[in-house]
Amino acid sequence: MKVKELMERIGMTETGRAIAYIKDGLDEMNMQSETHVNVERIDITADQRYYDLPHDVIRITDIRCKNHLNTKDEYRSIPRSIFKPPTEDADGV
Amino acid sequence: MASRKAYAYYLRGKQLALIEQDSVLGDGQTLTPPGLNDVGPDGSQLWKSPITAVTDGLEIEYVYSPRYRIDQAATTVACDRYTNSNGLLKIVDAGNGLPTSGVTHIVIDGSEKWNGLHTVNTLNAGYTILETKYNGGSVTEAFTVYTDVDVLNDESDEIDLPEYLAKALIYYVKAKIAEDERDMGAKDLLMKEFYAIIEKHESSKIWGARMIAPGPNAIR
Repeated sequence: MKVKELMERIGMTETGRAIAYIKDGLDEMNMQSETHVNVERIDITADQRYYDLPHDVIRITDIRCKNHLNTKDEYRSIPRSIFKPPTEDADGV
Repeated sequence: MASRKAYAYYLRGKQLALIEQDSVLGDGQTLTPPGLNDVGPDGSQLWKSPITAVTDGLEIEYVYSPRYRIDQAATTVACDRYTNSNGLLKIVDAGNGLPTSGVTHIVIDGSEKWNGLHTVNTLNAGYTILETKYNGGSVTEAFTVYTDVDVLNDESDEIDLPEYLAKALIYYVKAKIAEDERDMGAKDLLMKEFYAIIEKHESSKIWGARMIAPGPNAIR
């Protein structure tokens, strides 16, 4: 569906306002459902605890690590820790 | 053979905190005992920042919003560095492959931080300054830049959604208009329709009866 067709169905004439609401709607839709999924691989650095999430992330669906509970270089889902470990990160970044 | 590892994560603001259990099992046959400083009453001292570096070791699967389409997926530029330029993100390509005119938006892929759509501020030979804010230092990192991007900013743009979900979007936009007109009753009703269509779309992809199986330790 084109933006124009959506505007006609609603009876809108302001393009900027319609596109702003469409973008909001796409975000809200992806909070509930999954229309577009991406996978990103990041290098793990020794002694670095914090890693930036991708710029365009709306919702995380899975986090996997290489060799997690295996020796076959497989990527497996890792659990979310409920508590922070008592040992603080050395660099704190 | 690679070492067996045990990871976990938690979230801190916009960042993901990755932790690793510091008890090395080697190839699965030998256990290296932890040091005295690492042993706590509940074993929690064993969890710390990653112990070893692993190339492409962390994989994040995530949902993003389709605010753009890449027209020519082959039109890419391999960049090798990013830095800041007066508080804005500056991407650099030593091979001078970045376009110098006719591009208003780009999509970055393969970066550890900047994946997604960015608006162009200035195009130059060998580097592009983006509208994205960044005040850090120079970082050497290989990433791909898509330059043929169609952004959702025009009436003639196609919304990148299945036709059925586009109907949900109509309800959403109507709900926002009702909200602007302070008609909260209509807004609630329209949002209900919006969520109902999303749910129906999700359900339609699952065939057969839905059952919840008891866990392996459940009382039977």
